[in-house]
Parts: sequence; C-alpha cells; structure tokens
Amino acid sequence: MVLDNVRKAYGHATGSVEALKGINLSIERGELIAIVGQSGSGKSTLMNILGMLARPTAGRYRFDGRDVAELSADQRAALRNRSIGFVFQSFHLLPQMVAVENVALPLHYRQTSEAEAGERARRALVKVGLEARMHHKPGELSGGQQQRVAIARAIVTHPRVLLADEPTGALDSETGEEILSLFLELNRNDGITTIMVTHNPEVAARCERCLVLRDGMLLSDTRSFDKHISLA
Amino acid sequence: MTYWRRLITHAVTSLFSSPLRSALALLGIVIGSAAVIAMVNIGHNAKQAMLKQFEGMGAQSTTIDYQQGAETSVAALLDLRDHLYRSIPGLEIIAATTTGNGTLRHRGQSAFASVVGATDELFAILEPQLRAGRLTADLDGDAPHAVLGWKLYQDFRQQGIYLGVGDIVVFDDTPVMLVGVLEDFPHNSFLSPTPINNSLIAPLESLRRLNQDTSRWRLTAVRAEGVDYELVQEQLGSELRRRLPQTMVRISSPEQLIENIEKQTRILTLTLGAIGGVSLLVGGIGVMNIMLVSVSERRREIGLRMAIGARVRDIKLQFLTEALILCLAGGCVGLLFGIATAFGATQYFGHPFELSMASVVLGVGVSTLVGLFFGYHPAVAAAKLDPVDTLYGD
Repeated sequence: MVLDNVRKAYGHATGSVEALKGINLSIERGELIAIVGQSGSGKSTLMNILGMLARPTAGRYRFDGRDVAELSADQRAALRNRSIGFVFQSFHLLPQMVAVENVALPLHYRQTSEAEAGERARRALVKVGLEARMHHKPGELSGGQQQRVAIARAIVTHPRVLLADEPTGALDSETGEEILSLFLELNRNDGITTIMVTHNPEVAARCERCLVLRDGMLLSDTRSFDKHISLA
Repeated sequence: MTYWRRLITHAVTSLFSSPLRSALALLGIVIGSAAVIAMVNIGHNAKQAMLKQFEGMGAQSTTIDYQQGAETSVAALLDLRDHLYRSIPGLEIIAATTTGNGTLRHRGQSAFASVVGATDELFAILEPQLRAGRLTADLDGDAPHAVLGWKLYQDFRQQGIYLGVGDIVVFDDTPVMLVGVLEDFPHNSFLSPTPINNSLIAPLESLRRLNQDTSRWRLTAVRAEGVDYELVQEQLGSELRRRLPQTMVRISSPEQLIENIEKQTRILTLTLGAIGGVSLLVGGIGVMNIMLVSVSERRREIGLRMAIGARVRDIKLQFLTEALILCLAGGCVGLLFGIATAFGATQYFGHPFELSMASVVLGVGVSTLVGLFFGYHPAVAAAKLDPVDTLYGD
C-alpha cells in the first residue's frame, strides 16, 4: 500500500477542511502498524483512505500496485471484500443475526454457497475462540466476545489487510489485552498486514511500526527493530 | 441462487426484528389491497346478479315493436312476417302478437285483464304449462276462443268462482269462450308482450272483436343457434324501413341489454377499483415512509455492509426486497380480508358469491408493483449513504 502525497479535504458550509495534508507512506505485506494521534489529527481519515472507504482529493493511493482512483465504486467494493478486513471500535455487528451469520456476511457479497459460507464462518469463529457462542446474538455476548466476532468477520475472507479502528477502545483493559493478543497472533501466524488506529500508547508500543499523525500530517514514522527481532 | 435466497432471508429477518414497524407498514397495504379486491369483487358480483335476471330469458330472441293504425289488417301483419321469414336468414320462429287491456267479467265478478292476440308460434316460444284444456291455435281462425292466465284464474277463485273449459266470460262486452287454463308463468318481457298470468290469449285474427285498439303490434323472432343479434337487427332494420316507411319501429334483443349492463357495470367496477386503488396508493406511501425511517435508523448497518464489500446494487436490492416482501405479504393478507368483505356484502344483498379471478391477480399484482415503486426511493437513498459518515458518526 503506497500513499503518494495524499490529501483529503471535506467540504463544510463555512469552507473546506483539509483532514490530511500530504501524506507519504509505504506499507509492506505483513507489517504490524499503529497509527496514533489525537482526535482531529486525521488518523480515522487515513484509515478510511487506506480502506478505500474514502478517496483522496489529491495525490495517489496505490493498493497492490493499482491506483485506487482508477477503480469504480463496484471494483473498490469487491477489493474491500476480498482483501481488507475491518474492525471497528463499536463492533458494528448486526443485532438481528446470530454470531455465525454475522461472520458469514462478507461471504454473502461474494456469492459463496450456503454450506461453504457456514463452514468458513465456523472456522473463523474457532480461530478467535468463540465456537461455543456460534448461535448467540450480539446482545447475548460480552463486549470482548462481540469484538472477537467482529474480528472473525474481518478475517473470514482471508484478507491481506486488517484495518482496526480503536479496537480496544470500548473494552476494559483485561479484555483489551486479549483482543490485542489476538491481533498480534493473526499478524504473526497468518501474515496479515495489520494496521491499528489507537490513542493508547501501550497498544502502540506492541506494534513494530508506529505512525504519529498531527493536524493531518505525518509527524513521525518509527520502526522499533528490537521488537521485530524479538517476535521473530 | 444462494445470493437471492440469502437476500430474502436477510430481508425477512430484518422485517421481523422490528415487528411493530413492519406491522404498521403492512397494515396500510393490507387495507389498500383489501379495498381493491373487495371493490372489484362487489362490482363483479353486482354484474353477475344483474345478468342472472336475464338467464333463460329468451337469449336468442329479437323483438320488433311498432304501432300502426287500427285500419291495418292482420293479413298485412302476417304478410310482413312471412316476408321477414324469407328475406332474413337465421330466424327460426316468428310469433306475431298484439295486445290490449280491458275488464273481464263473469257472474258478477270482474278483474282487470290484458288480452293478447297471438299466432301459434307464441306458444312454441313460451312453452307454458296447461292446467286444463288446450291452447288456442291459428285453426281457431277468428273464433272468440281464449286461454286464461293463471293469476286471473286465482282472482276469480278467490271470489268463489272456478273458471274452466267451456265457460263463457265477457271481455269488455264481448263474450269469449275459454278453451284452456294456464299454470303460473313467470313474466319474461322479451318473449311475451305483457304478463301472461294476467292475460287472455286469443287467436290473432279474433282480436279485432275483442279489442278496439289493435294498434300495438309485436313480432317476436327466435334466432337460430349462433346467429349474431347485431347482424339480424341490422337486416331487420333495413327491411322494415322499406316495408313500413312511415312507422317508428323498435328492435331489441336481450344481448343488447346485457351488453349495455356489462358496459355500465364495467364502469362501476373500474370506479370502485380506482377508489380501492387510491387506498392502496396511500398504503404505499406509508411503506415508503417507514422504509425511509428504517434506512435512517440502519445507517451504521448500511455503512458496515458497504465496508465489507456490498456494492450499490446490493444495498438497493436489500431494501427493495424488504419493501417487496412487505407488500406481497400485505397483498396476500388483504386478499383474504377483501374476499371476506365481498362475501359478506353479497350475503347481505342475497346474491350468490362468485370470486373474480381478475381481482386476485389485480390485488396481488398491484401490491407487488406498489412495493417496487414505493420501495425504490428508500433503497436508492440507502445506497447513496457514505460509509464514512455512518460508521464513525455518533
């Protein structure tokens, strides 16, 4: 994933606000990255751009060598479906469906057969350790369990990138730690490029690379090679 | 295929997850489609009831009525009849009749009665049952013989007088001998010029004696199987214009009346259906409103679906499917209510109930269209949402 002088502006009644002011960034396969910054620093906007949910107003974003601006909305949706998994702070599970149905949702948009979708969803839930709660609705699950379901949904399509926006923000520290471990495990074992937006410095410290944003610009881009070596 | 099945399953799950809201939207459609179906069925049954009155009413007959002065001879009438037999194909029987009114007297009692002078053919057409005696015939010539109608018989019986074959009664100062008495014969205005039950039927040639004012003439023609009434009426019209140039002639057939009735009831049914349709339209607007609220409340869900790979088309289809299922379900429930209402109405009016298949197709079909039409706008609105707005808001 390569961002080349990416800018993003949002129009308001009083004039436009530039949330990102020229970001230059390159992300390799398998990296574990934390994006930190205060609110208003543009970190969520950066996530949206990376996840192709928003388009840069200037500059270029290349995903896997392809310029995202050249893709149609349908093509971007397909790419998101195949290659990107999202995890949100507020989980965003559909309350009327049980866990396994929630997890299988991305497969619905890929025209996967009923049987295969069910099986893959089950395996994803096993991976996050929630097989026992497969047929529970989100309302019957704790915060941590819901986030696990959300992670299972994010990985069910075997994506290459996992984008998590404050994944532990709504959880207590103990549960948050469990979730974080899960992310680290997925990154380590399956090689999924994992990018987390967080305001928690402890979370950031666990990632091998840390991007600090301020006022829409990249303040620092540090890699902690020690960590990288110790995880290997 | 699985995609469509899952689409439907998701839609049903979503609809059931907010049952009160779905029920409210459904209600509008139920009422609307019930209205359409009830109205169309009521119109249909009203038509059937009206047409039933014509059942067996000489459906193959065409009647020619005209008035001519008393100086016209019976011979001229019969001559005209024979001419029509020859010149117009497809006429099986033609009866010639003339009618008058007067008072029937016997042994001090009296009753108002009509008198019908008729050729043999009238009995062949009417086929009345005899209580006693025989029917009059052309062979009677101008003899003052007559057959007595059932109601007249009853009138005299109530006075204690039992009229029978051979009795001489007086019609307007003219003595008439009864040769027969008829059973009850329900009146058929197409086939007989006046109610038979209240009449004396005498041979045509004898009527001059009985009735001074023989000016109303009628020819009742029975058409052969499959002969079109319009064609026959046209041909009769042109023939009669030639033969009776100065005379007003009225030609009519029951099919014509039936067609007129059908035309009018069609307008009635369309109007009723339109009223029901307006109700359905209102129901559709209700669905649209409720779908818009649903979309607004499910912004996060929509944003999420887009994030995980739903295309614009997928979102549109999702909400269109929900609207469609809602309206289809409403249409079916409305169907039951509509039929029940129409059934109740026909029972109240004492008509037999017949289901109009057109109403079923119309009711369910229009409900479906309403679902598609009023579900489209909310679906488009949903698809236009920006996931960034919805996922990170609130």
